[in-house]
Amino acid sequence: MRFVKTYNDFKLDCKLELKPGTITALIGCNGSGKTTLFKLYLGLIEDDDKHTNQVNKEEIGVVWNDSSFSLVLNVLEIKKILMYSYKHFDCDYFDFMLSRFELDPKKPLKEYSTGMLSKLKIIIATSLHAKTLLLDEPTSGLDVIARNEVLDLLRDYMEQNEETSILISSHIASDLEGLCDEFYFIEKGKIILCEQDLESYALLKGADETVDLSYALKKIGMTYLTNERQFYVENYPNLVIEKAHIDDLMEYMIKGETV
Amino acid sequence: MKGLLVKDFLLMMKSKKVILFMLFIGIIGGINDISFATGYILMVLAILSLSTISYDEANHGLKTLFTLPISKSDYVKEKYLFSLMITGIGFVFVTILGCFSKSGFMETLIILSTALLLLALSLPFQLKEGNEKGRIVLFVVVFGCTFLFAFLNQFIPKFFESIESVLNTLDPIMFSVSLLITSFVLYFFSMMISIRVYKNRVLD
Repeated sequence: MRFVKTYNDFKLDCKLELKPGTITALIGCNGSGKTTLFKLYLGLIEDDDKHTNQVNKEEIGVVWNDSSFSLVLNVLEIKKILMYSYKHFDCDYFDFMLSRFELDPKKPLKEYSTGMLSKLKIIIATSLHAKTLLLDEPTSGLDVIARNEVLDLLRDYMEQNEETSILISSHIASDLEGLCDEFYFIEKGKIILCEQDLESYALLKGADETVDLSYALKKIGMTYLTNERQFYVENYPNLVIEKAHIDDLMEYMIKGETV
Repeated sequence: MKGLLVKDFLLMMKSKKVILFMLFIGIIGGINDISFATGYILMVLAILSLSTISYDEANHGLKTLFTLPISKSDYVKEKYLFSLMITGIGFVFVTILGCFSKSGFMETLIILSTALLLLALSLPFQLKEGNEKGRIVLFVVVFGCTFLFAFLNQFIPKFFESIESVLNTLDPIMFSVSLLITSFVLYFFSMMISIRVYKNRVLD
């Protein structure tokens, strides 16, 4: 799917594929275009061709990080709204999840903590048994324990609904490393990297003139980023080779000098 | 749309103390003058139904609302339907109230028409600009009309005298019923305009 949208000072232009049974990560800084992409996908805004994406919203569950149902409502009331809005809303699953996470159904949302609200939003999205889940920064503002609970929820959901595609956007990359199958890195509206296997990425430190740098992509200072880890492991046993984590990839792809 | 209606009724129930208080004032004030009660209660309910729009728009709420399987035109239609239902409930309430004192049912119909016309005027602005600007439009229209009539009455009394004489020749039933039908028609046109206006609305 191609997403193109121009604002006054920003242009989004990227291609992204959501595959069934895959958890896809969209990683980027604030302002890189993640939320705009979500809005385009859902048909909330039109693209540069004045075209609005038509999707079947019965089959999509969405979690926004800065938006929820009206905060004066409580969970019981929201459940009623959902029951009348969706054909396939699963009340039993919803109730079970509420009690599993100890969320009080009679409290209005404005009295919920950030963590409780995030968990509720994910429970709502997963109760639809949707084919697609779009999660915009679902773990932002959460403490470590709540984050892990949320990630576990998503893992369980994927196990029970194998054909679902999930798109998670985040700038907290460490959550996503153990969870996602495919990674898109976005910066200033463009996809700068799309990879499935991050194992082959590494940071090379202390490389001197004897090292063949033809497989190095970027450098910051004297450290190089490469996507051919195996080559360097086999040929340069004295070179310091570190696994490149998602944060490193972001930093080097955005701020590094191209080699 | 059913989900949206459920949501709006639930939201209005949050203001139930305010509604009961207003009804109480309306009843007290209406003991001597039923048209006060009618006008007051209908206007209050009409404006309250519009407040659901501000609940929807608070805290980027529209982003969540539009992940429900609804289109922009569904949203607009539901607002018009909901406002109509609330005004209808108010109308039934006021009519029952009117049975206890000598009343003009015609008067009630005319006030109902006025409420519908007010809604028809302010809903497009509420939907386009959000609640604050919509309320301003509402007040400007109401006060503007009041001042206009007072002004005309002061300086061109013949204008109103001639209208009055024309109205007196009309059959009151025919007049109030046709006024009501006209306001329904204008209400419907207002909805069509709002649907077009809302298409360009950015959801945030």
